[in-house]
Amino acid sequence: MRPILLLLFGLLAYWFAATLGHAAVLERGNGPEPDSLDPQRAQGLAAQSILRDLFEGLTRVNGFGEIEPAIALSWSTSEDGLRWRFQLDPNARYSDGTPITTSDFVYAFERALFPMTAAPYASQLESIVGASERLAGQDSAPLGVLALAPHDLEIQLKRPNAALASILSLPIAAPVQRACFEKHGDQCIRANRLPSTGAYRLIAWRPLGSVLLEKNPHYSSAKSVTIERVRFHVTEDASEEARRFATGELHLTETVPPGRLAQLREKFGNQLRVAPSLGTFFLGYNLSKAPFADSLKLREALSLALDRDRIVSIITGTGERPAWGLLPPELRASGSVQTQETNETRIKRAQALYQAAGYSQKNPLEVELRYNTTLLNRRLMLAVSLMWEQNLGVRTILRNEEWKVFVQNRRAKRNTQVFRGGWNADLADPLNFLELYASGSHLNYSGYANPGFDAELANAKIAPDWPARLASAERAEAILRQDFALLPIFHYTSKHLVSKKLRGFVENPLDVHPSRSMQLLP
Amino acid sequence: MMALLRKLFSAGLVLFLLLAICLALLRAVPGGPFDNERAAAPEAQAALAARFGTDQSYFVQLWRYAGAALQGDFGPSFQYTDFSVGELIAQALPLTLSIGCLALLLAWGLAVPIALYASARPGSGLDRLLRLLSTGLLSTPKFVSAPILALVFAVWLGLLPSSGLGEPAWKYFLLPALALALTQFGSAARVVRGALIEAERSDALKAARARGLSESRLKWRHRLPIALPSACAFLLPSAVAVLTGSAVVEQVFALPGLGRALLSAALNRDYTLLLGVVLTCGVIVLILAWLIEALVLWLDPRRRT
Repeated sequence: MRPILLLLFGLLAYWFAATLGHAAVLERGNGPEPDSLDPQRAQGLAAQSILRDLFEGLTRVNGFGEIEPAIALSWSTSEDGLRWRFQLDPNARYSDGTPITTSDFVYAFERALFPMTAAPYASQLESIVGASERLAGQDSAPLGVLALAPHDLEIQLKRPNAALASILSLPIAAPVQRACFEKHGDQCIRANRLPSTGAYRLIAWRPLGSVLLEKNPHYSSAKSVTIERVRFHVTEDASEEARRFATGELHLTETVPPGRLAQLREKFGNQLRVAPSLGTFFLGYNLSKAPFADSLKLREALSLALDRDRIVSIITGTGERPAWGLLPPELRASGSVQTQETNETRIKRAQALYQAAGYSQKNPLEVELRYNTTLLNRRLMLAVSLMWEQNLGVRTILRNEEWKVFVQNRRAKRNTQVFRGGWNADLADPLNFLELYASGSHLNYSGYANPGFDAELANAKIAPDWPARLASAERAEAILRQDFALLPIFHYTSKHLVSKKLRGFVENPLDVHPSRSMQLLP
Repeated sequence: MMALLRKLFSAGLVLFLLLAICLALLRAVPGGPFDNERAAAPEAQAALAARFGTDQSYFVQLWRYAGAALQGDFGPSFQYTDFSVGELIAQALPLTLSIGCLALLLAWGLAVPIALYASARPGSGLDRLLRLLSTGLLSTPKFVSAPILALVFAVWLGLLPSSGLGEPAWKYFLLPALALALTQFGSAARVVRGALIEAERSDALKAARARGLSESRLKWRHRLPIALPSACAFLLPSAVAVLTGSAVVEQVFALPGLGRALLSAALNRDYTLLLGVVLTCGVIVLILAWLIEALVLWLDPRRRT
């Protein structure tokens, strides 16, 4: 009898320990392998998700997608908006227990703006005095990030920037410990070595497998963090990710497999969480070459000939909203751009414009539509080409390309005519979208150049406050729409599977979900 | 000694050619390592090209890479910039080798006894079933069998994890190894069966049978040793198939092995990682070839001359 009792007790203890062990680790699907966990060097969304758990800067994004103070307890701005002064939390510590001071911020900004760092987000810091010069290789140019005292930091701007608080929440603006990077170089980014400033610290990293974080005991709000460990799994395939969710191996997925909303809802019930996000899917035109360079009527006709309602209901089908402008409604003071026309009148107008542009059924436009190979893209482009053919008689040649080939061709602007475009916001800032069409931008794959648009964009950049920035941004976007510089199709949605055990997950347009703001039930 | 030196020289030459061809192909393929959705600014692109040496000519790149690789330094990964290629391979290789060995053990461990039994009665029900099964398994691609295994054993039965890597590791190895083993079982069973039937017709076996030896003794002490050398020669293609098949299986089961690293490197144009993985696979194949050659020679002393 005694051995049986002992065995039963052992089994119970094992079950209890296993239950406790599982409850303490939040298992998150995170898309592809993060390109880097160096806050200044990371680029991909997968890396940014992990870095938001590992690093906090002067500000941070909370679980509602809002900006709030982080290491900076408070800040003040000079009247002209050119000097921002931050008071740092004197208790702020790295995960190794060393204090975080203003000199760490100065080091991080210098590092981000050093050309050899090749920081992908460095352009976000260009409003800081000396940033552009540093990026151009002038190492001795004075930088407007000053450590006035160990906990008193001043950032000097060359022009007012109403979005600075948002920009400072990006991982690129997080402090890094100089001593670690000077001692270990790039090898500072290692498990159990990297000093982090956020709610978690890095304790294991299996490349192409998973990244394991543990609660940072020195985090100033450590008491409010309830999840002890977070494991970010590399999940490159949405179906495989959903399978792991179904078997209970994941609590939160990065996305969901393609499918109609009703089917997904039937399969996953209220564990499926869909919400509008700050992103727009559009088609770009190569405006540096015929036939789109000088043909506003043709561009307008192609735009009008697309039935976006049918595209979002039949092709994408997961709550996307039809788009008539580049900016998502959340970034427009006046809400979404709507069209009052019925589909029939719009198509008639498109046909008239098509003819006015010199094309007809006998002399149809032949155009190449280039996109990167994914199932959804293929379906979308097929629908677009069919609508153009049915409504206007356009002959579309679909060119699907492997990802790297596609992005190279798109950037080169040599082979492209119409191409797949899209943008997901890094910040809740309309300029984050509009700068894609600035005439000097390296992300301007269309070759669009309009001095009026550039001037309005410049006005938005120097707007002293947020309402003025939004108003100028809307005016700039209106110019883009008048020029039919792009063909917006829909605004993205974020899609996740969230376990019933996970609490505190809040859908938000930025689609940022810090682990510190969630709780895991046993 | 001379023979060993000759072998080492030819192995070095093979690896260098492999490197040269791969680098040439990588440079010829459109799309560069730093082409991304959010293209880096031109200054950043130039800084990256200088940092990774992609702004150099083919021959300079090849010379530098070969020189560094000789000293065991495969350089930093272009895509996963926090890691050197050596570190990435060191983490991935044990996993791929473990799953590969397990798959070969499963495939050959089952194929040999079953083929031995079936070949003793050619044309019997079991023999026909074995042939049917091996043909079926051989013609089932891994990207079909692997998700089916995950669906059955992980989602429906809940016996094993569906993918990823955790503790205990063996639980996460079983399904991928089984997916790799299925195809290899199909081919190994056919080869071993063929070799055993061939051995049945050999003069040595006829002589042994004439001596009045028991069927059991004939089977284990004569038929199998005669058949094994030619069957073992098939171990090399079998191992190579497992190694190449790991790319598919590791992708399906989200395992951070060499195959997944290879796919990721190819898609991301991560030159250094891809060359490192290809060289590692080349070295593994060469070592396997030597080992299997030695095994065949040990099993069949006649071939030593």
